[in-house]
Amino acid sequence: MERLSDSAARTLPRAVRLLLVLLAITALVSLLYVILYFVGGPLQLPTVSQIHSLDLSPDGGLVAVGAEDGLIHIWIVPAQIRAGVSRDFNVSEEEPWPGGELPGPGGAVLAVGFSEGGQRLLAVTRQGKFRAWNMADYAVTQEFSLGTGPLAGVALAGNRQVLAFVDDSGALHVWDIQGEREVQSIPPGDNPRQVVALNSDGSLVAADSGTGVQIWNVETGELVQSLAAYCGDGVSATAEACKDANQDWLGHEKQVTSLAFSPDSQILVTGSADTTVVFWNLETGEAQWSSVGHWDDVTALTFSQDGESVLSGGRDFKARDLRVVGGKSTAIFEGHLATVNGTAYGPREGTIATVSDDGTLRIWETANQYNVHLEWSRLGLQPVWGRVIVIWMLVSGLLALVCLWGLFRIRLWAHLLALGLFLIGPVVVLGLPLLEVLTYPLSFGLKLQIAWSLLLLLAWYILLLVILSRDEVANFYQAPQDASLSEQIMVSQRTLRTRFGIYSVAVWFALFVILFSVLRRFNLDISFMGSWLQFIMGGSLITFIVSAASILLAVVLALMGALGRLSKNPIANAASGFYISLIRGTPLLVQIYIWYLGLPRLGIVLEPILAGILALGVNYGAYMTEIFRAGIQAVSLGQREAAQALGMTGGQTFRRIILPQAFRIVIPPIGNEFIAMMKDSSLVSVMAVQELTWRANKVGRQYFRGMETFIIAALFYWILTVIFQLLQGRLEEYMARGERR
Amino acid sequence: MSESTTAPGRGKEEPIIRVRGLHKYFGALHVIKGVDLDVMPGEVVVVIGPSGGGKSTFLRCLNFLEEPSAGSIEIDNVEIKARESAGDKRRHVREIRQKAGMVFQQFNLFPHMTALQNVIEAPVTVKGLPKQEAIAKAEELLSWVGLSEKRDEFPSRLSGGQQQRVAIARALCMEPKIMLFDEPTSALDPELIGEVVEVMERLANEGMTMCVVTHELHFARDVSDRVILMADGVWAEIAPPAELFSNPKEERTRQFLAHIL
Repeated sequence: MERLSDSAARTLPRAVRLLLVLLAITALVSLLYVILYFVGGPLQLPTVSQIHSLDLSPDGGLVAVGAEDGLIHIWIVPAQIRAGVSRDFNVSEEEPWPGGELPGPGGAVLAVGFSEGGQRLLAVTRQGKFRAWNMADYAVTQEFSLGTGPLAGVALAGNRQVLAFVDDSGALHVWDIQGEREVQSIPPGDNPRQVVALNSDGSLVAADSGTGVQIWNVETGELVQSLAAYCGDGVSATAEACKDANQDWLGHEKQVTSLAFSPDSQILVTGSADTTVVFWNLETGEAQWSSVGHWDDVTALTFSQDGESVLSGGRDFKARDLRVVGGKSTAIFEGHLATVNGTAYGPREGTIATVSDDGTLRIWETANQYNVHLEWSRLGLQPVWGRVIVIWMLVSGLLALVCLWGLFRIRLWAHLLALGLFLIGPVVVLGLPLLEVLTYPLSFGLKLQIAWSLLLLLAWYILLLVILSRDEVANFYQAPQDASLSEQIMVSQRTLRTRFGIYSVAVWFALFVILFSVLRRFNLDISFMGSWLQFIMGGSLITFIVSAASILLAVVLALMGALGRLSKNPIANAASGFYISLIRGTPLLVQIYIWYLGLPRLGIVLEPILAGILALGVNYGAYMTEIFRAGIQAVSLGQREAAQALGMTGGQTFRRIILPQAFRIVIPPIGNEFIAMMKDSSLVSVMAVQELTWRANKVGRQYFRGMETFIIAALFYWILTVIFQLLQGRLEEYMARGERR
Repeated sequence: MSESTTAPGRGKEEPIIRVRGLHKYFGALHVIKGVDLDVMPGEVVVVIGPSGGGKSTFLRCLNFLEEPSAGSIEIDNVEIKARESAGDKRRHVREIRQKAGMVFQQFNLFPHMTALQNVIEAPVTVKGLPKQEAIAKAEELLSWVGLSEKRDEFPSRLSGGQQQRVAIARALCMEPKIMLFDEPTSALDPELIGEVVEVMERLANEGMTMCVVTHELHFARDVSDRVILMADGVWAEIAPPAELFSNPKEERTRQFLAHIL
């Protein structure tokens, strides 16, 4: 062993030795990065800081947000914005607003709030720390600890005199800010509490209780109202029973995830994981209105000053403006890249502000729902990419070590593994975040500032690839060193082929990455797609059955049609000519409608699926007639003569000699027709054949998620055709066995 | 003329091929202009002559791959006249084709079948011979043409000479009374001609009645009983090979021989 590696090291070419050194550096740096990531050292990728909370100063002059990084970011709203000068909606051309950062008292800032006059700014962190600043000189004026932590949910009363929070045991606490003392405490309930709200004067506190809400009087600690879902008939106890009784289920079916009091404390609004927002009358405990529209948990709710509308934000990355009376949604704000955590009206009439886990503050025009301004908590990638890249570093670092060992032992697999790893890996792992940064509304310089480390990494991988694919390296690993000239030529051809294969796979992956990042921009409702995937997927079996049965029918018809076209019998010839002319002269969709509407008039009532097969089969039969005719004619005359000279009859000649050869000729075009058929079979969805397109259309229309369902359908059409192409290749190979050389 | 169309010295036997007044038109083109021929059992007749002289057409008329325009053809007592009902004619044509094996210039093996399958195809489908019997017979024939180890190869993996030998075996497997060869060596590379000619010689020596259109003058000289020079749709000269090659009587024959020798 010792001797072997010794001699190997001596004979390694220079390029290979360079490669080994670079690979060792790669492995070392990658693994070092993973370690530093977990101990929190340098070498961190720039990632945005998720923003948890938002408040505007009463005059609309300042915006303050609390972020995951423990800072309170403050922006000064420019005067012309507050005055209502109309703005260009192209966000990327906006000048950033002046502003600054205040260090929080430690931990993620879960709540921020300006005092009623706007002189003070208050912040509460997840670690249970409170801090207040004087806005005149940004001096810390008050600081105390809530004595517990971490906190689940925090709320500030409208008058900023009282704060309430839920601790990790689920107990609810209310504190007087001025007195820095606890004024009320409610022990944990049956369900672990997550969210809390105070009314404007701090006299009522509300917290979630599973699918319902409980409200206490802060002064007395007495439970004043308990809101829970109920059935319209007042009897049925569960949502299912209520549905059976044909009544509306009022309230939430899933966990309450956000709460807010109206300014006059008459109404409580709740958002839930069931995606609905409900407006409760606090007097009667009745659910007055329910609002649907979000696609996921409702995570933020804010009343307008006049109490007539509510801004909701959700885990579907969207914000909505809802009318309190009726619960109708009047505006949808789409653009955030992650959960919306806070919403606010302002900074002037006709605009709103939102903050999100994507680390941005966005200002929107209510009238046209344009995103008119955008600020970053901190420039960087979305946090998910940080995690993806650390996983990549770990995997690639370990695999680089494996490659290093294999390359040192002069193993071909190690060379191919390294080539594949550093070609395909970076395309996927670096491609997605780079493409995302590309779409950020930032100047080129700022994009570069975010992405420079990724680009550096990419450049390093390209360097590795260049050396890996150098001929002297590639051939070294493919050829025995003492190979003859002919062997070396063969090897270099094989090297080219292998490299071509790996490059093609990488290009496929790159295109996939681009496609995927485009789809991400569509803001698809992934959980919705997940829940309907199986239903739509079930259509692919029907699509396949319809296509396969239709193509069989079409082959039979095409064979008959072709024989007719080639026949010297005028009846057969003209009949087949008529068939081809009629069917090719009319659109398939029109034919499908005529089959669908016409058959019942003749008293023939077929299953939709059978009618669909008839329509498609007859149509394709006409087109494929020409294919078969050409196939039969392509069999040489000599074959017919040879068979006849042996005494075979016309029928025997056709069946035994002509048809098998014609079939081999027409198999590739029939395969093409079949692939086309699988896609044209979508047209029979108009006959209510429950195939892919029908299902996608049905679900898409019912839930207004056509984009989602049709993308699923497209995916399965693609999968079907890919599978079939593989089968077709096999079949052609088998049919061509007489031609092999 | 009638004397020379009959084989010399075999007068007592009945001819196995009898052609009378055969004409063939392709549209207005008069290709065969009334020829007569008697071939005795076991006789080998070679037809030579310039291109376009009607040799191949004549041969193809013998088993009705080309329909004669006029005249009669009788093979082994099956006669087809130019005017006959369609049903009768079709039956007679198939009878004649079973009696007359044909070998083509382009071999025309069935490319989707192995050598063995090519050979047994017609006996099984046309004659209804049990498959096992057909295979036994086919193996015998393949070994007779020297290709027993190629029985499971597809034609595309055989050389031209091998393909033509399989084609000969295929024709022989129908147990024909006569064999028709339509330029059997013209599509072959020169070094492959010998193996096919060798098989044809053996076939002739075993007493098969053969009618051969060829440019292979060695075969004509060494194996045939009579050589016909066909030009412009008629027999220019019919004679035993020794006579025709060394002492041609007709001017047309001399011209042709001068051209190719």
